[in-house]
Amino acid sequence: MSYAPVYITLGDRPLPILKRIEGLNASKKQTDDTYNQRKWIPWLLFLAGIPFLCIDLASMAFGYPFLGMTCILAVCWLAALVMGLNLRKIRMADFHPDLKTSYEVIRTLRDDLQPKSVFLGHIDLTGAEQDKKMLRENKDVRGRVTKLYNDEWLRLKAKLYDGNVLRVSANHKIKKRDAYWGRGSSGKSKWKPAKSKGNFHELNVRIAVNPDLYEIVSSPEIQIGSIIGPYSVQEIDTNGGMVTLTCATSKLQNTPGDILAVLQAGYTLLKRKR
Amino acid sequence: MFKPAIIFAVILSMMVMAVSCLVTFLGLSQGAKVDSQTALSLPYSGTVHSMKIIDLSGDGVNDLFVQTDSQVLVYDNNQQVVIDQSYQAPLATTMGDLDGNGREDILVFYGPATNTRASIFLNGSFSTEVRIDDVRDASRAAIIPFQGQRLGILGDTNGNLVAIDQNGRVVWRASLSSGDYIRGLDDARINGEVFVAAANHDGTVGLFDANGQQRWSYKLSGALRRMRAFDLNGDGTSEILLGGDGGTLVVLDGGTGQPIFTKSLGQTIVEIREAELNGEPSSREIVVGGRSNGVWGIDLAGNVLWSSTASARVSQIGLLDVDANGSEDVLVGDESGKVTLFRADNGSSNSIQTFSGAVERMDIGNFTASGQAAIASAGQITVLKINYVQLGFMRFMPLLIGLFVSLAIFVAAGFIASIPAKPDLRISVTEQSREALIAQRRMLKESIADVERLRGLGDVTSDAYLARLKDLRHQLADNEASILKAGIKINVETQSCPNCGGTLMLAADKCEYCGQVVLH
Repeated sequence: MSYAPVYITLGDRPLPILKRIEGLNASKKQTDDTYNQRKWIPWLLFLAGIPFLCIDLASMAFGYPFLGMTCILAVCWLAALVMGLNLRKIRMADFHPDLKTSYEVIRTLRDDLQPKSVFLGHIDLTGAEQDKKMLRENKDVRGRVTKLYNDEWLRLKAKLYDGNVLRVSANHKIKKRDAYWGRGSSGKSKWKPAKSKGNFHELNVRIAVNPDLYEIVSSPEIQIGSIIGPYSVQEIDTNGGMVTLTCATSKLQNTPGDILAVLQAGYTLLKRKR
Repeated sequence: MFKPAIIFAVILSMMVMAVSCLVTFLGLSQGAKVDSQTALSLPYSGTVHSMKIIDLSGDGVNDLFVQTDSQVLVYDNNQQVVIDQSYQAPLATTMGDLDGNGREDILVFYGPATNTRASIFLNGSFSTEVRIDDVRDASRAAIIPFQGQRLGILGDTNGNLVAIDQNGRVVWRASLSSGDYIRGLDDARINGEVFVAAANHDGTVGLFDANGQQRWSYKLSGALRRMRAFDLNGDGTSEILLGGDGGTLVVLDGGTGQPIFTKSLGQTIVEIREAELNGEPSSREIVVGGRSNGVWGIDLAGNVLWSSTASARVSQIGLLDVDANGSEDVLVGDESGKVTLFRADNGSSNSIQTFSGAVERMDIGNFTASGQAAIASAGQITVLKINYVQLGFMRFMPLLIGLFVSLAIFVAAGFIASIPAKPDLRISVTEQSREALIAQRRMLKESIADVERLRGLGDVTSDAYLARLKDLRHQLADNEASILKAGIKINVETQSCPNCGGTLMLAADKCEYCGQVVLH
């Protein structure tokens, strides 16, 4: 399924960001509503021209000269075509569900942000399979090309109210073999379509800890291999005054709750100083 | 205030309405049709060589005169045969007032060289028949109303002319040329005085006075097919119109026999008629029919007013003012049996009727009703009533069309203008405060460092590295510009490649994207 390629650069307080995303959704809804309300009008105009052709044909059938009514038919059809093309231009695919996920994450974190500080980063929903997102490209002995993409669709940095600096990086990793001409057992060449060889989400959460307020501790609940919602913990690093949590899941669709659960899990590794 | 689509629609609609008004008020839209109804049909045998709707009985009601290969028939207005006379072929007939009583008489010139005779019908009944000696086969006849006496002129197949009076007495004899047949006889005027114009098939044309004296002669190159004499410009002197195999229309001055103009039409001329085509009553125009289907309307200066084509070789031309506008429309019968009406003003054609055989003869007149065309074809004389039917509201049709077109334009323009703009999908939500801009700058530098770290680890391809770096550096350059605009002092760290425009770090001496050397 293809989605509208949305890219939002973040560098503002939560409220303007949320309003902008809401505005984007409202615009989308308006164009969708306009399209659905008006898509029959060009067809109506197309049909409305036909009686004029009939008048001309009838006139000629009864021996009268060409009346020129067909001009109206031509104009109606031309107008219908222009209207149809203009209407088609505003039609757009749905937004990726991750836009809503991102919105919810920002909305949840909005009160935790330090006053006067901003959310930084981006929401990149332009799609994973782009050259600039390619990590590696391998060719096997049969000449088949496999590409590994890393789509960092959410990158967020925020200075929190408690003085910690939170960095969130949500990545969609795709391994895909390109389509190729293969030779079957019968010796015939066959077109083999592109094939997914791997598809998972990776979430990196890094908290630069405010040493005045927190100390880093270990938690029996958060170990390598622990399960947080759909994510499993792949890596934990608590060195250098920072907590870095790397989680992965093969679940294809992120929910805000999944991401926020990982953020919350990162905080279980911090203990407030008395 | 107004969207471009609306402005465009207003301009376009004004143009459409201007054209509509122009077409409407100049009367360019006629919305009329010409059709025909068969009034009656009469059978005949053989081929019709002459046919005319004419009052031969003097009762004020027209009769129908028909001459076939060897028969003369006259039908009265009730389609009753009033004259049915057979003759020895060949046969030539003519009608005119021979006895000067104001009624049309009939002169029949018939028979082979051994027994050539002239038969005269006066006032609708047989009057006399005389033998004409010293001539060859009968070819042509005409009644000419000379001053002082009305004579019947007889032409044979050897170029001889014989003038007889109403009693059949020979008044004079003359010879136009020998060896070929008389193809045309017509009355011509010089300053109002009547003469007879005679034409031989060999191309010789001559003008004879009431005493048989030849005034002038002219030789047309090639065989002559048609000779007509008309006073086209109303000056009292006829113009002699000639056409033949040479494909050239020649118009002679009746007074001198000198050409007024010649017009090459590129095909054999088979029929010539005078007509009122342009509605200008001070002069008459010429309609010419060609062997290769051509039909022309030509004025007295030799200008072609219009040209068109019939379905086949033109055989007959008739004239009828179907729409009563003062111009005579041209009815053409052709060898395929099709009768077509060509409009006087532009030559546009309307098919009237198609017969099963070639149109042999055609005459326009008031037989049982006004505006009828009698057409002889395939053993049947069909009298057609030609109707001109006009739709009154058609005059305003262009205006109506203009309004509909304008409406469609406005609907389309309103539709387009009211479509909401597609939302921009690449947006930036960035605060322009000092803190936010500096934080963004730091974030971008972190992102650049991340990409470079991945590059160092070999976790990104060269192309992807450059593309991402280019993107991030471009954002960094935008950020720097915003910072400088906000009046915050920073050390600028980016520059643009003079070749590709890509954003480079300030220290770079070579563009990573295009390879251009960058000089500081």
